[in-house]
Amino acid sequence: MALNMVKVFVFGNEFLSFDSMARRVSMHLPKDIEIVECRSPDEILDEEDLIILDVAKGIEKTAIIKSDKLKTRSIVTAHDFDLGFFLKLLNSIGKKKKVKIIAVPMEGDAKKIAGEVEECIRECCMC
Amino acid sequence: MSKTITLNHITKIEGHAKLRIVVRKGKVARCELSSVEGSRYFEGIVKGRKFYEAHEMTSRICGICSCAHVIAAISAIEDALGYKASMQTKELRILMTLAERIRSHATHLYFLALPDYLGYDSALAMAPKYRNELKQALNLMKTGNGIIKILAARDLHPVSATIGGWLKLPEQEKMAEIGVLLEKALPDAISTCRLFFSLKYPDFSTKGDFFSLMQKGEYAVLDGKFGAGKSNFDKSEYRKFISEYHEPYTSANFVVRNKKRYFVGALARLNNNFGFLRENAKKMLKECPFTLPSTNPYHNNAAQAIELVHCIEHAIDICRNLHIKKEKVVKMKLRSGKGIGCIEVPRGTLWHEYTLDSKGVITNANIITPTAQNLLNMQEDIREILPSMLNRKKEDIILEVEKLIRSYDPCFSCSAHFLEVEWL
Repeated sequence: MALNMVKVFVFGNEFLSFDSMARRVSMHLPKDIEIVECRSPDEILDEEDLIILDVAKGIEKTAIIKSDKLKTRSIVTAHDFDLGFFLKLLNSIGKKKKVKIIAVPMEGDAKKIAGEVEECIRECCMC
Repeated sequence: MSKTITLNHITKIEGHAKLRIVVRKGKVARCELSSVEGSRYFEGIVKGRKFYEAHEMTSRICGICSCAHVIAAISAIEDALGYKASMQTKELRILMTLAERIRSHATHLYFLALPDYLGYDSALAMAPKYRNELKQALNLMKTGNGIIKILAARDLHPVSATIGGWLKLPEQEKMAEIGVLLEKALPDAISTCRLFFSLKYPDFSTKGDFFSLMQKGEYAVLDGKFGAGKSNFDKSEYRKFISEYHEPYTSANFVVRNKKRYFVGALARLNNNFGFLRENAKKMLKECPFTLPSTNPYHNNAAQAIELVHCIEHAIDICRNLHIKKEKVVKMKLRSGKGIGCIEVPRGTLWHEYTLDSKGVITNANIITPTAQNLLNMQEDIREILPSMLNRKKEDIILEVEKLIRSYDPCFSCSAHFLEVEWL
């Protein structure tokens, strides 16, 4: 299946070793996939169909997770806006999105994980 | 009998603070507002570094106000080197500063301040009933972010603004694109104003003075004298008037002017400069439920809402009138000297001062954030408002105190810091 119409929104911080895996993995994905590097959750505000690639704490293997499974912290400062809060907020205000989150582990071989992510992207496109 | 209230974690503000209140025989014996975050040492970190590194390093003081620190540092370094920026560079710096204020005010107003007034614990809890309002908030935040991204090459810790000019100038079409984004956001800002005018603010008057930059004919952003009315001074004289000191119970600095406390921020700017608001912001002022000057710190949130309208209009004017021409970044001629940057940023007036040696190495630095300047006034306002609520339930007192603190939109992360209240 061709992936040339697929857009993947990649989150994480390349400067933090525990938060950089999604960005490192994205560099090894097929070139026909459009990679959007997101630094702020509002970058997905106007997107209807979303495939998000992000690092997840506590997983050992790449997995597709549903957005309602995300834990959210309460917002106590403007520094606390994270993807989980943002997706929940969008859902609460009726801006429902078709969201598929591909979660990668914090550590491992980026090239090998990229292969798993590619399979997950194909699976997301079939749904 | 004494009662102590310790609020160990003041919520919905930037950073972390603690409030310790001791009440003895129905009177407030102690009221100590303190930071619970570690000292940041940014002034020490930049010492020994080259003049062109200050803005990139101090940007990291805060992700919310990174543009503010960049522009303040650049202004101070250029001042030290005797360089005056071109009109185009100045306008781009103003535009980036306004965009950051739009993003910051929208975030604070809707996500941190509004839930208090509507009786919700958080913006998420109010979402089912206030969908449109939160959509407006997200749109305004996105507008601010979008502009910064275009101008600064990224939305946090901007890289285009630099000493002597602009590294990557925005294309003219991009300026038009920003103008369109702003035009679309203006109705949301006007609705925000009306929403914050409809809220019931507690009746309270602070004894602190309201200081901001003031410049003839302008709602000052990057230039002007600091003060209120005829009582003002040039930034070069700030050490004569402004002093910083420490209290043993906090790592944050306290700041006074002539030993007296003062207030900086949207309400101070509005009190001092309301005559220079743009057209729609002026119209909103006519709908405003209070008159100016206001001495009620709770009105700061409504002032921020008026500023949202003004900032959008000012930014639209810049996008319409600025014709981008090629300008190379000017190479600085090094000299020893001292320079001061004093600019208006989301939470008030921000000061950066650097001393350079003849090789352009920073030998001394001093940064005074808006929250540090507001800290004493916040603490004393709490001390003064407490007696009127001591017969209320502890939870109510904490909420009211937090509301007062949040009206200041403090950033404790940057002043060296969120509320912990300790009731003794």
